[in-house]
Amino acid sequence: MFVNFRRVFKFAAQDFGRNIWLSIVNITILILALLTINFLIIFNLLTNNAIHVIKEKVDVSIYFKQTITQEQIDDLKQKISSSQYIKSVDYVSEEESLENFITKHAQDENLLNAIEELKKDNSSVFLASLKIKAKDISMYESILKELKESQYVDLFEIDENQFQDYTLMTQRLINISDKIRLFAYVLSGVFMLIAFMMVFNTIKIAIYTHRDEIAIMKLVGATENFIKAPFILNILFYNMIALILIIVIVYLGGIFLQPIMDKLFEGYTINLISYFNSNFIVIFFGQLLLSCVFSIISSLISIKRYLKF
Amino acid sequence: MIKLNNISKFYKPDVWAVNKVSLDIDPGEFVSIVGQSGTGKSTLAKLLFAEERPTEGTIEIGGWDITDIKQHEVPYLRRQIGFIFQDFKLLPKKNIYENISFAMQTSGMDDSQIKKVLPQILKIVGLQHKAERYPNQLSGGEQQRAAIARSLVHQPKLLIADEPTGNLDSINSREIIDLLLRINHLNTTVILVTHNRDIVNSLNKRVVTMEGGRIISDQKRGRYIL
Repeated sequence: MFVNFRRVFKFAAQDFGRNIWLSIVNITILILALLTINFLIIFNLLTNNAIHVIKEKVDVSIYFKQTITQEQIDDLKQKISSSQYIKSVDYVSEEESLENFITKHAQDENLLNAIEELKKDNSSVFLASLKIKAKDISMYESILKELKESQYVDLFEIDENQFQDYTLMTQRLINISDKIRLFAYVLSGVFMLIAFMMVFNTIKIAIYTHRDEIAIMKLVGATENFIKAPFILNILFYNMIALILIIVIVYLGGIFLQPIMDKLFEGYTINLISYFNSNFIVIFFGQLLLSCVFSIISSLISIKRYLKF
Repeated sequence: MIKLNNISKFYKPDVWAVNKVSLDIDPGEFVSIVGQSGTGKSTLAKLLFAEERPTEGTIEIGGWDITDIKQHEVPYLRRQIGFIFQDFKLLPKKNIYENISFAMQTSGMDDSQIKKVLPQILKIVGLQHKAERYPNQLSGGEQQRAAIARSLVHQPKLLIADEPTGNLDSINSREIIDLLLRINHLNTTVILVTHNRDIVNSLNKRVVTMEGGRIISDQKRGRYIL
């Protein structure tokens, strides 16, 4: 058993080296197939992140009338926070609102002058507010409903504009991303099929080039398994080498793409390398398993016709 | 040793390559099967090492009925028969040592045994100094000798040579035939399939002549009669 395994391993290694160009072609095709899979993984990651970014930006603000007391504000804040739909509630005082506004419009002198004039009149420029974020974008409707039915409804105003703008944008983005995703799935299917066909045909050709050798092996009394085993082992070599190279390519690609992603998703960027690090086993061993199973099945199908005694 | 009983082989659409052939070959015999191209000589050889199955009749080798031999039994039959062919059938990506040792490894022979036996076989065929060469680095005669060496590794009781001199010049052909005769003297049954008149006439051994898939002559010490 051990002697046979050692021999099979030796034959596979010899065949790999002595048919080096065939080996290189096989590995290249496998790399292209795996590259397709990794491209699809990154594409899905980016699409999901884009949707997440937009969703994160959605919130609803309620602005308190000046007649409201601090106790009422605290009470309202507590009640809102206890709602099952709420992710966070932040109180923004009048002063903070003013500071935020000034910081945001520091370049606009006219606006700043207008603010100064209002301050001179001792008028309240901004109102205190609560910034509410829901656990999910679909929950905002329920939150608004709850707020409108609240006992303090007369003490605040709801600014739905921002929420509606973002909701609209998110809805559009989700629609677009759904279509893109559907397109990507179809495209992925097509690419995967092409990749699999490429792998299948390459293995078929590789075995075809060995058909005379297989015939000779049969003639000298080699059993079916003794003939097949080195081919299968070689296929495993090809897959492992292709996987190592694809890991290098993906990580180099990640390093190259990261600055572009940082620009694209300002403040909400995803770290590709960290993503691949934390999902390393699922992504890469999953691919190894998939490609090994597929290429072994391909080789078993291809070799079968030459093994008939 | 070998019993062919009313053997026929039919190929679609309408070719009877071998037609009702019966033949007995005793252990240690040297038999030449002769005839022109397409008379069924090679098909007969293929039937003997189970590359083809007969349409009719039965085949027995050393008491083993191989008429309906199962797929998984074929390798074990082939390890008991030696073959050599016109085109040598050596593995091109293996050197001569590896080509011969491969045949030994198929039967699970251990490395120490291979190291002991293989040089002796190489010496018999005169290739002991060319063991590291690849088939394309050898002459036709040397390749055929390598093929003979490979066929001997299992110490077969039967050696089938299908046109072994077809690709060789007369000097190399003579060497190969002499080698076959030496093997035959060691009590190995040799079946020589050929259409080389000079060789057959020089042997003074049994000659079976085929025509149209049938045996038309079987002489104990025969000559090429066609």
